[in-house]
Amino acid sequence: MIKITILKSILIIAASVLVLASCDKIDAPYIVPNTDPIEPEDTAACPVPKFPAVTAHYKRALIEDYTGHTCVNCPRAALITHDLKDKYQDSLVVVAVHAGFYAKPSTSDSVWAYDFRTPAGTEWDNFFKVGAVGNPNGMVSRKGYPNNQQVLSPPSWANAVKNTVSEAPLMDLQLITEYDSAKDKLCIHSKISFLQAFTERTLKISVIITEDSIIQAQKNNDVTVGTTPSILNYVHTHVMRGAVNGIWGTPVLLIPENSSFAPVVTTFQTHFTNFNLNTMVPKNCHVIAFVFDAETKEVLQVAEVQVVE
Amino acid sequence: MKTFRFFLINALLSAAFSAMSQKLILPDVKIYTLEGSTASASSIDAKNSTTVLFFWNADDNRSIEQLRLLNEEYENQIFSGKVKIVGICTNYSCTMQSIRPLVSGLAIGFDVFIDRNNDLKRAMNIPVLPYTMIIDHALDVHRYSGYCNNIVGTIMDLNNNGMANISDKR
Amino acid sequence: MKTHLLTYATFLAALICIFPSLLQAQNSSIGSQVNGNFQMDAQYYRVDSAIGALPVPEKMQMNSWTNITYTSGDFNAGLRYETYLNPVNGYDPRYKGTGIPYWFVDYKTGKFQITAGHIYEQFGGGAIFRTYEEHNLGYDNALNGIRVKFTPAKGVELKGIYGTQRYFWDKGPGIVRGADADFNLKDWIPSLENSKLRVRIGGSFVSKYQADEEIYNSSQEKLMLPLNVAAGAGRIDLGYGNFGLNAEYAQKINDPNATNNFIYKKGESLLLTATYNQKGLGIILQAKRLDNMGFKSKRTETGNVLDIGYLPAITKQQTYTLAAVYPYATQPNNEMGMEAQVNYKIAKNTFLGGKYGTDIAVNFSAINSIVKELVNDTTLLDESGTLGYKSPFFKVGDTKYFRDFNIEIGHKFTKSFKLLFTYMYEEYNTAIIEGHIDDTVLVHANILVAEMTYKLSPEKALRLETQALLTQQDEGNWVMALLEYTVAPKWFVSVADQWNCGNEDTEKRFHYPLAAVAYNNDANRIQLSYGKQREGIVCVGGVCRNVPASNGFTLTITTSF
Repeated sequence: MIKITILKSILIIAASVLVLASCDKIDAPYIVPNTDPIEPEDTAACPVPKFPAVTAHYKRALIEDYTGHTCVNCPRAALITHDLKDKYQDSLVVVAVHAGFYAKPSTSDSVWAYDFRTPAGTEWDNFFKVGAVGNPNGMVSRKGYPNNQQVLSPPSWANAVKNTVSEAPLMDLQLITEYDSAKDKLCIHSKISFLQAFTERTLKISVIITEDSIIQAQKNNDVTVGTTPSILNYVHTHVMRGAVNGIWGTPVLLIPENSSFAPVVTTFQTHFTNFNLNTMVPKNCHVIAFVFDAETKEVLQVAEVQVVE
Repeated sequence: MKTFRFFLINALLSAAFSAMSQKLILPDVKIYTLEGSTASASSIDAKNSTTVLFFWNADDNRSIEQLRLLNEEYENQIFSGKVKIVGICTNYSCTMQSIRPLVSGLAIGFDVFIDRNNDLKRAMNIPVLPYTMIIDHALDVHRYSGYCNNIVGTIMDLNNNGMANISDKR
Repeated sequence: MKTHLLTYATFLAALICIFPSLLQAQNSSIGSQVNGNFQMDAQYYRVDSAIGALPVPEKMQMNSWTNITYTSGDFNAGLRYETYLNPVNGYDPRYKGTGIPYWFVDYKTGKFQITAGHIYEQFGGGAIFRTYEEHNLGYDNALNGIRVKFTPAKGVELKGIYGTQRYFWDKGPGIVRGADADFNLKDWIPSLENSKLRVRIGGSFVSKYQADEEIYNSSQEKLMLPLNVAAGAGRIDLGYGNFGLNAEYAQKINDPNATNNFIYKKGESLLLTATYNQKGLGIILQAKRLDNMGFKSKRTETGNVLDIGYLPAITKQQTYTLAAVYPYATQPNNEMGMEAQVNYKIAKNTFLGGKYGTDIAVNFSAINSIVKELVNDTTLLDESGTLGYKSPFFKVGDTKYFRDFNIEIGHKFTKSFKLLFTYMYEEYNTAIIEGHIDDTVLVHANILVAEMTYKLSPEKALRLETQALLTQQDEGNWVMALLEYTVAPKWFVSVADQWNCGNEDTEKRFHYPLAAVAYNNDANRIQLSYGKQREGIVCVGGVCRNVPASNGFTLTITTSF
């Protein structure tokens, strides 16, 4: 009888330990530098150009297609993004985020050894749980996150894009890039012009680089897309190559809302080097910037320009 | 909204506590015989002898093992006349038709019913399988979750000594 | 959303008003009852980069369910509280949250039975309609709506359902409506009453409505979508003495959806079962054909949710750990297969049966693809916005999905010693079932399991399981041993280890140990385990997800009353 009581206590203690173990003991230093890289505006290196006046105001949508080179069902999803891009042209921006299990490079087979993953893409995948729901899946302008409904299956992207582009834009976002091939340096300038009154919210801007026309092997099981089980010279498009200003972007400086509405304009600039180091081909690359609500994560406006015109 | 929910849970909990020492009432849920006829679970007669309701799953080794154990003793006549056993196979993934050959092949001597789509399991809130309910003469219920290698001993103890005695031993 | 909350609140208010009077009725002769259950699974994770167990920011994750049901005479009500904070490893992250996703009221009056709220129902074998819940698998497609059952005479049952389905914490966009009729001729035709012949027939019809949406075929073309998709099924159950024969056929009209790549072909399914039964011998033969039968209440859905129909597996479900490494998953859109199983008991006190008899079970199943032929010269196979393919009904496709031959022998040698031996040969198509393609698509595996139980006393038993999975493909050979000590009815202790001893990559020859202790008190059980869980892949409807490996503690509590 006593034995049983001891065993029972052990079990209860073990259970309590389980709960107590779920803590993070933080040792000094308690304050670390903010990793959000708020770079000083180096206007000397990158002089601010004159932005053309915005004439047409419309909302653009962002599709993030979470994919991987060993995901057999992903080429079909990529095809959907191509069709949508053809239809919506400049109103739609597409990013192929290689992240998670199916983007892991193979250690044994050199054909599958290449790695398109990026720290930002991996973090987003973990945060939005896209890969945890399964690949292929994605998000359209990161809508639905507060209700855990952000993950959309590829066939449902069309409807979500249609709804997003029909919304009234809160702001316009312009992008200008200047690439200096000799120095392998890229200057990125963005300008946000608010188009309507809004309640105070924290906005952030993320700038990323994507690359087209990368030929690498891709697994595939859909004969209507290409050869199965592998397409050895698959042309990858919209591949996310990295985040320029950190995983979660940088804050957009906002003047609190006035009682009488006046458009608030804010500019942002950054520069990016090391194209060659990252083995990217500048003429195949695009810069994408998107402004999002720091709380709901919803992407409010997005813009895309080529690195080299 | 929140208060409504709170009241509801409260009402259910108070009902639960007042009903803790309840006698078993089998719900009027449709179950199937192995031949495909229907019957109501409420028609299982638990009044005339100690009755064992054994819930099992045809896809699960431990369930089948427990079924074998009960059947062995049933065949060995330990239970004869004293204890009535009713097997209830909840069918989750297998087809309903595949249960009868399994029961025949194991030469099960007691009645087995099929609980289609887990209707009875849900109505009686059976949490895991196998699950054994032993109903004594006074219709008091003794429950056991999971596999038990001495299920027969437990049943016989109950049958011979009654529920009160078992509770004291514990 | 507002109106949704309002109906919810009204319903709860009504329940609360009813409750006190019902509780008072408890002492009356009709009798009333409350019962319920509770389960909690909490996991504490440690990082283990070798096996691929990633850091979990929460450190702990927890799933929990509480059911309460109230019954009073012909009245019945219940609810389930669920909380996933956050969902444990392997669960769909969209379950994150807390709430009451399930409640119902039900009453019977005369020949009618009415259910309102969330409903679990099955028409026949379930081919065109089954809602059910299996929380350990994270599956729940409950219908939120109403159900009416009508029994005009003995042996006749008519059912109707109308509602939408559960979609995590929301509802699916499609409205599902259906009716089913079931006739037991034995209760109808007096001359059958004492005959050996049993006849039962039934039929059902289900229709799904979903509003139009934009599905593009290319940048210039969009699909004309059917807003209402209907399905019908018929079944017959014949029995004569020891023989049984059962058939269920279902058909579905054009239903372009994400799982069939938006083709407009009709769907078909057939399940045939023949059985022979006598005490000590059971034989079953099953044949199945599934062609484009994925049926969900949301067109663009690919995940393991919102299924309207249920297509049962005819392969044997394996529960031994290594035998379940390569489990078959039904392919609703494309599969043809058969199964045969014989269960035989060699009587006791015979030469082979020994003193206690011997149980033998032999099972074989084979699943292939169906044949797909081009609709015409200009259309590719499965091309969206076309009829997709033609399929001759009786032809079996060339692609091998799954083969399983297994034999299980159980023999009790003495009063206290028992041996259960299983041999299994399996062929498993990783490309189709798991959706990932390697050089070797087909895994060939031999699996051996020996389970020995030694009874030390009526209460105490020692159980040893030794298992081996032998294969040249995938991750190579695995071995496993499990030792369990039970002191019935309260205590249970076990230790186990799985070892991937045959992995080609010698650095990946990991051990996956597991130790567990459980305490059982009547219907209450508390179990604590520590161990490593291997990585897995789950594929449904063309979407695959990886369930990461884990390393840590699991605490499980189950109670019921």
